[in-house]
Amino acid sequence: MASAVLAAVGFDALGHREASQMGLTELPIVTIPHEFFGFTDQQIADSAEPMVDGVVHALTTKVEDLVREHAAGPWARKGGAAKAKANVEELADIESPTSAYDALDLFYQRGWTDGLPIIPPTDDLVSAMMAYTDRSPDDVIGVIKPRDGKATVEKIAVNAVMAGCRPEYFPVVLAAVEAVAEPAFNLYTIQATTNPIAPLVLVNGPIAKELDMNWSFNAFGQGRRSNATIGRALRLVMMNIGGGIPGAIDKAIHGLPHKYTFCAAENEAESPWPSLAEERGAPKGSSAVTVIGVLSAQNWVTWASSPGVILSTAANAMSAMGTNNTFHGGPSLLVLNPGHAQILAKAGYSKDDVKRFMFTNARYPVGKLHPEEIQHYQLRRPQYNWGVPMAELPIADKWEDIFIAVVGAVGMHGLFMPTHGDPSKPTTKVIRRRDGTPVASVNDLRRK
Amino acid sequence: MTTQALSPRQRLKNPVGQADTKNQVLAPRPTALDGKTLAIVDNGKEGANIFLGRVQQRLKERFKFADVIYVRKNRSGMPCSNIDEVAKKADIVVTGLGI
Repeated sequence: MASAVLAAVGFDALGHREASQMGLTELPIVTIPHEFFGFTDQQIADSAEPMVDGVVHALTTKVEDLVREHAAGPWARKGGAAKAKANVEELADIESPTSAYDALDLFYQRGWTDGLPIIPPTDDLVSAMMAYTDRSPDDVIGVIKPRDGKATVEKIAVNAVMAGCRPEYFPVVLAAVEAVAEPAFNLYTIQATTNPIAPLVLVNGPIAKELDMNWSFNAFGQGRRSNATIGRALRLVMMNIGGGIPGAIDKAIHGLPHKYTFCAAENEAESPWPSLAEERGAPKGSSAVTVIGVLSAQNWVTWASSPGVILSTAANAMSAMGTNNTFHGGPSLLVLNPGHAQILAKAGYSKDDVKRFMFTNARYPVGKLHPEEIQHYQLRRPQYNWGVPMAELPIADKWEDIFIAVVGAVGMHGLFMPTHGDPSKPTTKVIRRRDGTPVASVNDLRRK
Repeated sequence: MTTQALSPRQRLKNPVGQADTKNQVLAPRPTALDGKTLAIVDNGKEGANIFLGRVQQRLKERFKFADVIYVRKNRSGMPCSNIDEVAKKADIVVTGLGI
């Protein structure tokens, strides 16, 4: 049906891009020349006045006239043959400069990097990367929002080479891309949000050890090539294939370093509990990737070694005002170090027991919310007792939405990673052959 | 794996790839808005209801709509849950992005 789309300045580019992807390049988008941050209600209402004519125009102008207006306007690209040529040029392979250093500059100028040096993706490096999959180069692993870019095996391999992956990492990269492309993961909300969200890639199973992944000291930090480059490959796919370009599409107000790369393995060796992937249905002994869109991490620390204090410290850290989980509910991730996990398990707590504890105790009192904020909380969480000042908001709407992973070394620290709330569902993919059977090793996928 | 230096005219692969562009066309616009059912889809962001409320008010002053359906999402990051139902009833729609 006929539509009029109003877009705050800065978001109009996102709107035009999305419309183009849908074949609606000439969709009339009425740009509001500001955002509303800091505006009073009266100012917001008054700022609508000059927009009404544009809305009426969008709804009543003949399509052929809208097309003509678009062609003459700032959002038009070259038309016809010139447009087709420009599109082909954008997607074509390129002739290499003489040096890798110049290639880095070239890729950076094209907007294809995360700002860090890349490995120039030559034909032979990309072919070597694809030796670790039984899929064909043109197989589409997923369609990456918001650009709706087709993540073929080959294009993922190009980005994996650029990231610095060794070829044997490729099965994990493919599984991570497949996971974020799942509709339930809702990659669009993660790519275009104002929140500093990155998909955390958690790896389970024997492949983690095979690829020398880090699950212990500094697991989420720098130092291990597999951790660093697998996460980075996913981000480059999201940028290059998915169009998640900072500013134009990616509206993260601050961003954070975990957007470069965020990948680790779970510390299964020291965990007393079933792995995250097993909990989520992965066959025992298989290797799998779970992706969770998280807003970085809140560290919490306790000197206590009693289960009750460990649990209550974590619960307090998780129930802070201002997290999206207090605001929206939805999934969140509690990362326990193996020392804390073992103390809790020894005291009789299963993972589910810990989740239930957090659901019951990680809550924010409604009475402490500022009147200016309450209407927004009420809109998003209408099912709670807003009329009762002593009521408390849980960080999730069901205990099963609190995820637990055991990562890191034994010590006093834990991590709470809130998410965007329930727009995005954590997703797990088992690393499989083309015929669906789980692999025992990356070499099961290696082309002979 | 190769250890060769880059040589001129060696090909570097493009990391971008094709997009899955859909073929759609703009919907024809009505010749008049009087008698139409207007839908307004509010993304739930702060201020959207105030802004779109004023837009709705001014449109209603100018045109005699058969009906106005105002939908406010409670999850900005998710598609409108009842959009199909709204689409069946409405003739025209106004929505916002980023507001």
